[in-house]
Amino acid sequence: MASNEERLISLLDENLTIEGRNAGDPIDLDRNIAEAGVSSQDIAAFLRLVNEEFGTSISAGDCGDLLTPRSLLEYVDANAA
Amino acid sequence: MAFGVSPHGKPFARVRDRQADISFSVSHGGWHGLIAIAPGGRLGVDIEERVERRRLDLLIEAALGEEETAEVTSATGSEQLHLFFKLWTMKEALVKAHGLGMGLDATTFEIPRGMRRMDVSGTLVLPQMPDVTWRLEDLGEERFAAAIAHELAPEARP
Repeated sequence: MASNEERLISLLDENLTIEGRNAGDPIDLDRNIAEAGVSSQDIAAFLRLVNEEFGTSISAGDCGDLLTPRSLLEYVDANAA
Repeated sequence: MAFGVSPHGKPFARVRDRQADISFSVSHGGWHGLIAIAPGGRLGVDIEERVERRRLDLLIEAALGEEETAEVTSATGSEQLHLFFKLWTMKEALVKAHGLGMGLDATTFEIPRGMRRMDVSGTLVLPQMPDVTWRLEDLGEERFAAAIAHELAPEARP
């Protein structure tokens, strides 16, 4: 079974367009996606997708702390159902 | 001129090491871009290409309030996509103008009913900031949805 990191990267790849990144390029785990051309509403929708995929319950209030793939991965590792 | 960024990620212009008295906002979608500049008052713009989105249900859940959701989900086909992007861009423009980034949950306020239908401009007060009035303008056309939100000066408020 794919690791949480592989699943999260795959979700990112399929659903968000990160400025300056070409398809197939590795994802920078420490880049803040809010500063990479992703709108706040797209981020909110993406976090709902993460909740669906991992059975987590990230709320609107948590969003501000989970804006890098690494912080999101740490959250998922600690809270996935 | 140089640029700075607020703690919530909103960029601003600096002249001689001081924040300049001008506001600006930039957005791009597809091959189109939108730039707005104003002499004062917070400003936000958004532009989106009206194209099919993979998980429209999640986008609706992330961005729309109760009445807005009912209106979008009861529409169908191109009418649904048109209304969704109209609301999405107006709300994203407001979120950008507001300057709190993810600190403003777009589901907690709704675009005035007149603007959800035919009106191309209107004003709005956010429940989170009752002393500020925002002017909203729908700049969209058939292929692109676009909107601008601008903080009204106290003397210009209705």
